[in-house]
Amino acid sequence: MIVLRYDKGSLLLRGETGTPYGHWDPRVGAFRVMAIYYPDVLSFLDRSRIFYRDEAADPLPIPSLSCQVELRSYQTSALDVWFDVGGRGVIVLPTAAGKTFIALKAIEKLNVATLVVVPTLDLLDQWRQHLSDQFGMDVGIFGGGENVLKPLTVSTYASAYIQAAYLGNKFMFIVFDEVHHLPAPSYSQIAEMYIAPYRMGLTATYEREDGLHLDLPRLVGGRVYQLEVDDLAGKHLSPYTHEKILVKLTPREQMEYQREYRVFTRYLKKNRILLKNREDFRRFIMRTGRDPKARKALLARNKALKIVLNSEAKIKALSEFLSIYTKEKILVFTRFNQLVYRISQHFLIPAITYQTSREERKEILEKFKAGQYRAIVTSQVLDEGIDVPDASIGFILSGTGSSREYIQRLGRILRKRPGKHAKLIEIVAQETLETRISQRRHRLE
Amino acid sequence: MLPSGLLITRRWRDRIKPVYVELNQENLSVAHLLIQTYTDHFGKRKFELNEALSGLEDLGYDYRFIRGLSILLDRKCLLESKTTLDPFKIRKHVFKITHKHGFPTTPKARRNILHRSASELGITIETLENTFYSDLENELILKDLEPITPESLLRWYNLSLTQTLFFYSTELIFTVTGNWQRIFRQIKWLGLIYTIWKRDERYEVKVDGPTSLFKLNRRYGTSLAKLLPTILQSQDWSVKAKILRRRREGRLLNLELDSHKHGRYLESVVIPKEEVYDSLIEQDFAKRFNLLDTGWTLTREPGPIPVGRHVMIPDFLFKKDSLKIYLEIVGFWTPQYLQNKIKKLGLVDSIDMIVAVDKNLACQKLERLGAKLRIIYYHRKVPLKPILLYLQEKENLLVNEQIMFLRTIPFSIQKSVIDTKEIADQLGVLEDAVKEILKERQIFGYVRLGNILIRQSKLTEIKKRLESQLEERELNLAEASQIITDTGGLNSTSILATLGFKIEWSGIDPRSAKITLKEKWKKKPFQCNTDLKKTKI
Repeated sequence: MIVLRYDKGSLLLRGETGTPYGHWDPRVGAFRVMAIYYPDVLSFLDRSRIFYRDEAADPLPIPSLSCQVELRSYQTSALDVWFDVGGRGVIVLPTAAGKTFIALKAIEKLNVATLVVVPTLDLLDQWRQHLSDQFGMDVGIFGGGENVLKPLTVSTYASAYIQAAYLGNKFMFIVFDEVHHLPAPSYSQIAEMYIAPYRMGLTATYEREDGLHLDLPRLVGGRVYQLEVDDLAGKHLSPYTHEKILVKLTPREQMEYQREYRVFTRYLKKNRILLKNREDFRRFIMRTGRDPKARKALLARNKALKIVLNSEAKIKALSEFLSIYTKEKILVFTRFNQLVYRISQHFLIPAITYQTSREERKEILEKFKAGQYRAIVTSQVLDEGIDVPDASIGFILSGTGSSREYIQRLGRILRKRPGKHAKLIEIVAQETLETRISQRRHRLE
Repeated sequence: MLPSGLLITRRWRDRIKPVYVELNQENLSVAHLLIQTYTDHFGKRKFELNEALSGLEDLGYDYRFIRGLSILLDRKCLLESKTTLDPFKIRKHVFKITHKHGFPTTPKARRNILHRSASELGITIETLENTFYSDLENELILKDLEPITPESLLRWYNLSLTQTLFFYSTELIFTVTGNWQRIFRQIKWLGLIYTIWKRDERYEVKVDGPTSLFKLNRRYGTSLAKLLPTILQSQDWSVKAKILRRRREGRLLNLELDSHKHGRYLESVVIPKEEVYDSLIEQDFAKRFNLLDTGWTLTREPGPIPVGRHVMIPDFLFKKDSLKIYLEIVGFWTPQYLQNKIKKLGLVDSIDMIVAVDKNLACQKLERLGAKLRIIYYHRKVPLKPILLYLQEKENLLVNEQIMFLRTIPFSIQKSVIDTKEIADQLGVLEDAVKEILKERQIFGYVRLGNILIRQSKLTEIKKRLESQLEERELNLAEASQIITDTGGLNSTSILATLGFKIEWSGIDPRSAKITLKEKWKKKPFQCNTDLKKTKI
């Protein structure tokens, strides 16, 4: 007789039989298997007609679930495909296409203890709200200082990782929201240390620049369904336009910019360094640890970038737009917090950054949804996931060259509403290094 | 622990080491300067402090060093809001008013909104502007800095550097003297797994985690980093770790540190040997026991005992000759706990243990659990009597066993004079067993005088010497003793008595005690007249 136990993120098999993926662990005198292979081990034992006792799974008992969610046609087909391949896999849909609802429906149908893993505290709150609204029960939370376990639980990636040894055998179904976070070296261990046989990944941006998304089929299951923004724009998503506004730095900014940027380019030229890709840049950063001149060059470049990204000209342009769009709901995105607070104080727009308390964040988002606030200025924290049902104008004052960031920011204004036409306006300083950053983020379009 | 960007290491071949800062005058003054910068900014905004600090980064020192120090000092800061007003409340109000008027795009419109908000809140417009984001970290006021010396800041920095490198560790091997209990308790608490083995008379322990089995894994790096300071609290330590610095290279590097070479760089509070008690109960017990002259030595935390795949670390060891008896003092316990203990004890030979359990927490009365485990109950303090009785009992058992054994072997003695302790040591038995056996056995050619055995010929030799001296002059006890010890004897007074000498004391000074030979003993060869006559053999 084999006894199967869960031990801090792995399975221990007491008994004489090895199984697929099993490693003999001399430290404890038993076979050990990664928790992710729980279903494989069970099916192996069943098929081999080996008697065993399963003490590994310890899911919380769950009442019968039902929800009011009605799926759109493409959501239904996504869910059907996912079920067809055995309840594993990644569904790729643009932001605002209602990925959450697909997951809610899956939870209802499976009716098992479920963990939803999310990247941000805002999403934590949002999922808690959705789950308790739909299923009318208390929802467990791990993250943001809370540690409450319930049959339906939402956790941040960080907490799910830290608590893996403890939570890993409590759920039969895991939903990874924004699943592109999962293949990071540490977070991928969440997938490995949980036994949940049913797994669903959700994202609008499947590919990662580092190529680690190739690990997703092992961790969650393959890509089972995919639609792009343009497949849905107009019908299920709001139609949108994109504008790029070029502004000129003020003469003083221009001078300072030139001075700083030249320090950087001179250093590169002198040392024959070409920065073509991330790897080049990484090597350059490492060089700054050894070579004070490299560090000086890097600091100069950062200063130049700051001058550009925080330019007075951008504030002026934004000011003009604000006097044009006086009815629309607006999101303003920047790259650095400093600019967030400058804009917030200048235009008296509520701000959300990682420094904003949870309470204030919640208050601002709720008032924004309710129409009591008409704009929010934020750095990178709102890039992902939060529902802003009818924001229709987005300003990108500054950002990184990541196309993911761009797609996500776009997604924030695409939720469908009758008669809505979304606009994403990028304000870019011309003839600076920002023009290249801006080009990079459109690369995948 | 520091951000990984501030980690400074040196690599050569397959080795890696954190680059420690020396505690020399120059670095100490840098540390002093940093601390000074903080204290100079008491009452100022964090933003101003940060500006001053980033100015220091370009003094020619490695900026990672300077920034590392300031990150550590940041943790010792007390920051405070400059106002008692609630900025969040003020913002809410301003945003509400703004929503009515629309976002201001001219200075005038902005001033209007602020003016209205301020008057509704009952504050001035300047106060409003000042308070608006005064809860951001940069706007907080530096109120105080927990005191720290430049020296301990540098050591703390070196420790943090080491811990940061440990984030990248996949396993750790350590050996220490003492402090085992704390270390193992923390290993368990951190959810790590250990393997223990013996090497050159020392125990080595490897620590990693459950999933380390499957693949190289830095998951436990943080936990190993947390374990490190506890290991460093030991008197002597050495630590080896495997470091996986760059995942893509996939190359494992070796990190080796030990207290002799690196201890002086690192901040750690070494727990002195005498103060390793976890509780007053233990401390009190050790104090009371050591006041008694029992012949047993008491050792606190004698070190780990590998038991199967696990390890036991008892609180105390009582030791007398070959006898070793462990004592564990247990607060909370269950019968299950004790059963486990017995099972563990069953796996090792020659381990005796007393477990003292708190009477009030007793879940169930258990008197005796097998021969190897004695349970005693305590209330507030661990009673000495049952422990002494148990030790005595074990000692008697052993003495009896040894007497039986000694009866079966002959002993040969080479030395002309020897005491029972020495015989016991030679035979590897307790002195009591030797004393007992000498009561029943005569050693040919030897006489037993109290604790010593002495060869008859030696006694005759002593007698002759003393007699010849006495013929020439008077002898006092001190002189006689000198002659006896010079001849190789011990225990002068009993030898003198045995040989028929009389000691006439006048006062307590041996130099004024006169030695005479009793008349009937004169010129007679030595004859045995001790209790050996009574022996059966």
